[in-house]
Amino acid sequence: MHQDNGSKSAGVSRRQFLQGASGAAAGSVLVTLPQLAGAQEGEAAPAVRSGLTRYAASGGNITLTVNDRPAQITVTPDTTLLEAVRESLNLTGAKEVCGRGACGACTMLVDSRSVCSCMMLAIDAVGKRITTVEGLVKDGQLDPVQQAFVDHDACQCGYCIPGFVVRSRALLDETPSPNREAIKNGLCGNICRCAAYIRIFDAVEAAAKGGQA
Amino acid sequence: MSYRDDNRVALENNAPRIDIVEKVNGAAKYTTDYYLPKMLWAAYIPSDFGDARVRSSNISAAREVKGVLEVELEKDAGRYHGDRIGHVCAESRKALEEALTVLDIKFEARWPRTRLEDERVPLAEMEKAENDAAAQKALDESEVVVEAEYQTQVQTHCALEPHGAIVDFRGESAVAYGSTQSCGSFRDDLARELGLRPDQVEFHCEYVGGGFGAKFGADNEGRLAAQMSKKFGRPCRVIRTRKEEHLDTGNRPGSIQHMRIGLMRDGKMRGGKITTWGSIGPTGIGQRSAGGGGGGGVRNPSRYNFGTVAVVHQDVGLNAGFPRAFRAPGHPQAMFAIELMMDHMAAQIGTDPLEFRLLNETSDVRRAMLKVGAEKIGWANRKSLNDGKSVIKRGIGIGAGDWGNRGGGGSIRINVYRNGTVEVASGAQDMGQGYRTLIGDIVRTHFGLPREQLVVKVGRADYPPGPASGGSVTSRGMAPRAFVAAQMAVDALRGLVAKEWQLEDARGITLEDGVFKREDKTMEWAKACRLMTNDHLSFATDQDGGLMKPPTGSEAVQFADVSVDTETGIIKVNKVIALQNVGLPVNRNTIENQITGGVIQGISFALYEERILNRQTGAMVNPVMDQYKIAGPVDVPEIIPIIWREDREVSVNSLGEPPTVPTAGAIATAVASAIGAQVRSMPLTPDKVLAALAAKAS
Amino acid sequence: MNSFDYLVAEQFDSALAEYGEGNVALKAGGIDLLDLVKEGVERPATILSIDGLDDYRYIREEDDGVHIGCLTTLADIGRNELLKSKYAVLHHAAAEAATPQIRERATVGGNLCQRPRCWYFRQREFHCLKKGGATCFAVEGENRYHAIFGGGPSYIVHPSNIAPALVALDAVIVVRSAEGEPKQVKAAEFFLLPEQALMKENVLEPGEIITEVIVPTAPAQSATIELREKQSFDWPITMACVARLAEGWHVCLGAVAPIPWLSKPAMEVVGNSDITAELATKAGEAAVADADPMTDNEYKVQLVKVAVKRALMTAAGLEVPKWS
Repeated sequence: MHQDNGSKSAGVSRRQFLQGASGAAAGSVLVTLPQLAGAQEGEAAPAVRSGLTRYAASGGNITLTVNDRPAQITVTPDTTLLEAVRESLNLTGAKEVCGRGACGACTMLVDSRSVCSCMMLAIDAVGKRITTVEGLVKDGQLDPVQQAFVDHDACQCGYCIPGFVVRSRALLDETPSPNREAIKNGLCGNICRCAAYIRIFDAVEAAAKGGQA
Repeated sequence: MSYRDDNRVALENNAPRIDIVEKVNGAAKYTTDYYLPKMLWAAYIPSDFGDARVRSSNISAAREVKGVLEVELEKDAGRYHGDRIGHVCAESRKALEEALTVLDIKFEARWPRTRLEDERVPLAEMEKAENDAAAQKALDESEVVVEAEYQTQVQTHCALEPHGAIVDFRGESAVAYGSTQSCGSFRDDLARELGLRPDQVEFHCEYVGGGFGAKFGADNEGRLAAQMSKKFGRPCRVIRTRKEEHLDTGNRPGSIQHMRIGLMRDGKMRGGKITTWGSIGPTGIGQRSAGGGGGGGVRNPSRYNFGTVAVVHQDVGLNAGFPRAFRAPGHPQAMFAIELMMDHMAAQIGTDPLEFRLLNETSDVRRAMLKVGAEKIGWANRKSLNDGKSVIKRGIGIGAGDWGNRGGGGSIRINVYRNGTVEVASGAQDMGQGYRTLIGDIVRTHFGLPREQLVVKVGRADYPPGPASGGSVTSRGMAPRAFVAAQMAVDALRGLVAKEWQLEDARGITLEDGVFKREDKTMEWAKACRLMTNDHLSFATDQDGGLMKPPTGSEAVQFADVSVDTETGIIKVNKVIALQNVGLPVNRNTIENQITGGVIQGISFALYEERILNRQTGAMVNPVMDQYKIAGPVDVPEIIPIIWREDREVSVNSLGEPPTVPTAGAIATAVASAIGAQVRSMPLTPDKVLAALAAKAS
Repeated sequence: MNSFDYLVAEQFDSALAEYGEGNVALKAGGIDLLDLVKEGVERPATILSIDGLDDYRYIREEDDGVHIGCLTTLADIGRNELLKSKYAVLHHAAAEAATPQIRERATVGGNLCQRPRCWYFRQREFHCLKKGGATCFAVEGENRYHAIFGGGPSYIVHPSNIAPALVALDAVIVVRSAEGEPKQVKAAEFFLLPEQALMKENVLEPGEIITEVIVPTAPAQSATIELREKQSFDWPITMACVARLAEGWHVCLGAVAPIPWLSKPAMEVVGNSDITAELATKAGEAAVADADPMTDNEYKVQLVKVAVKRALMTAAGLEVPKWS
């Protein structure tokens, strides 16, 4: 779907376009192959000003770095980070539950900060380090937070748990020794409908006490 | 240690659930997690109003969206917001979303029926119960007559995994995935829809993201996925949206409960009249699901001995989504009214609410629980909780419950392989209650083997049949069968060991901690397994060995300690003591998780959750999770689960329903005790608390 | 979501040049906009993203006050020691808003410009007054969370948590467009009542973008009280933001009016006085003198009284009721 052959008809030179792209995110973009043309042949595309990267509605290729691995995928601009990771990379740990940032089931780390990946466009994650629940496992070893969830049986149906685990990881990175109240407040963006909360608090508390921030 | 011998499988078994690692590392695959090659995406077209006709529709723009295969309007009217009036099928998520965006349907809306209080038959016009005269006599003979009306809201299940199905029809067979509480029903429904035999449909549901009573058959999502897959010869995915979950996949019906009870000054209730109304969907659309429920019924009266009571109920049709079974259908809402009524009556005759309950309690188990719970929560000191100065008032309340614990039928199969591996299989499903862990732990503790040697497989329709997991039947029904199958395996292996030891029979050979023994002879499990001539031995049974005793109560009592900010009406739950008769305990983790989870869901129901319909259009105003309020981490109090055992119990009690029954009543009575006024309508939101305080003051 | 072209700005000027023509929606973190687009309430042909312009993400102290860049996130404010120690009213409002995950993406500019969270406005099914329809459904429908001040013809409440704090701090909002010099608008004059403008909530004209917020002076005392039905993530049902500035106390209410509601009657009561419990109570009572509740939201009158009282007392270091 990458078609930058129509650079002239898009009213911008390829060089201009690349200049624009290189300005983004301080050179941390691994690959950017954004769309110049949503325009059909012979159709005049709207002019694109310099300093703007344009992604046509019809879609294009981007590179996302997920769990330390760069991957080139094709997305339309409205594709969320969650959809891109689940549908294109088959990393299905993060779940879509509310779709509006109100439940935390889709939590991922973006440059080490926890965000709702359902409310972030995949294109906006280009050039950033994305970590999913799968990526917390290092060399086959569970992250200390994951291990604490295991030790405390911190789950029931499990659908919300990847979100809780990733958010808990970020919480402990931000606040290495949270007390019980800080744990509750720090997890307030996550919902567990089965309500395994008490075990979840126990797990995060134990992971914190283990000095495993 | 075994199921039968010492009557305690493993209360000390505090191992985490068997599938926990897959759940924390993201590997567990739920229905929504399958994306099949060439998969189609389909969805329903919803009605936007409570009661509306389609005035005009232009679906051509949707049909022209690239990648859209089919757009059909099937109905020209919708009778509730979210009613399915057609469907779209497309080659990608993007095309499906685009088509739904450009659909142009104009409705002509009529005034909808949205409120139970407006649509019910008034109390005075309700038909009389058969025993009305006897109930009237009891009232006439009573020294005190107490009357009050209570209201509960509609609660939606909001399981985090939405209802969904993925069906891959392949002509002579099909592979399907569905999020369900009943693999067998789901598979059968799909087979019918696809025109296949059940054995031709390979159905998977290894993981379920919550059910709570709303997920049984293949239902609308399964039907559409099957139809589209069959029509286009490609796999099709139908996952309901969060909005649809609130609108069109069931709910706990709302209720109004009018109680008029007569009692004597000594505290004995003589009887009276109870009239209840329950909200259902538009008449004729209400769906009764395989797990029971589906109507607007309320279990009032129950638990206490009310004397001679005449009960009348009306299911009231609204232009709104239909009820389905929801964790103890009819019970939590009844206990909200009943516990408040108990307090109200106790106050009228100047009796302590605990004493009043002990006097009218119908269960000896609960009577004992009430005493223990009162001790743990500090009931005796409750009058000194408030110093009279702070605007934040504390109170303690009581809730009771039980559940007619039946057991579901089904089979367990154990394969013992020559290398010693034990595989336990059941076609029942684990929605998070810990079923996988339960049967696995029963079998492995019976053998005395570590978890590493054990494989447990559940959630496929081609495994030995399991019950539909509704009404707290799965663990109760299947635990005995796991034990019986395990004993069959032990007996067979003992036979092989006897032969090896050149004994006439296996008498005297025991299995302890994975070692067969007789006098001074021993043989390790693995070595015994190598004696088998085939690659594995297989044992299956649908027999419960007499271990599934007649229904017991699964009795529950809860005490809640709450604080109420009397200036703002905001409530904080401090602590809940939850006593729960669990029958034979198997795994402490899964038991405690079920109890505390039930309590928290009860708190959420009592304080926050509510389906709110707009009275003008009939549309639900809050079908999103920031507006449909579910208890989150900060709302969780200290909860002390007390695992209660009765010596008579040799069966496992399922805990889906029981622990959530008493909570709303306990919270409501605690709030009333704190502020000195009853809030008789759920959820107990600040506006209602402030109104109750204002009414008390005036 | 509907299909849209996506423009990612690498420079602020390019965004300014592009914005304001046609059906272009501006996006920073996207928390507000994506919600609207997902629901189908907004269907932009083009989204112009300024997310990633890290030059506009800053909190710095200058001679004329603290400057906060438009792309500063609420989490940035929450983590900022300067704001935490000297600007409690703003710090609290930002640090407790929404959820930790949302705060990582929600920006100052986006938070101030977000559309109403009214449940009619936010849902495709309701063609309400603010979407060009004929009815504000709150008037005869379910209005428990709607306005008790300044309503009519629409009864939304302003959704921003930080807006009432910034109004209480007498902050200045800096706005730029492709043409002309940046202009400075007082926070108290930035927001518009429905009777002033029905289809938008502030003075921004097409093409104008907030670049930063300037908080001129640190308050001598300040506090935010946020009352919610649920203590985990929930929208406030009433907020009170108070700040003691040189000329006296500012009292601004949130979640009770279509704009951050500067309570002149409460401010007149407290003037520049030291707060006592009695004075705070009087201020609370004064704050609701002109309240005009709807059918289901009269309880908010009481909440405003309490929130104002407690905010003033908290700011003054007096004890307020706390959960045991």
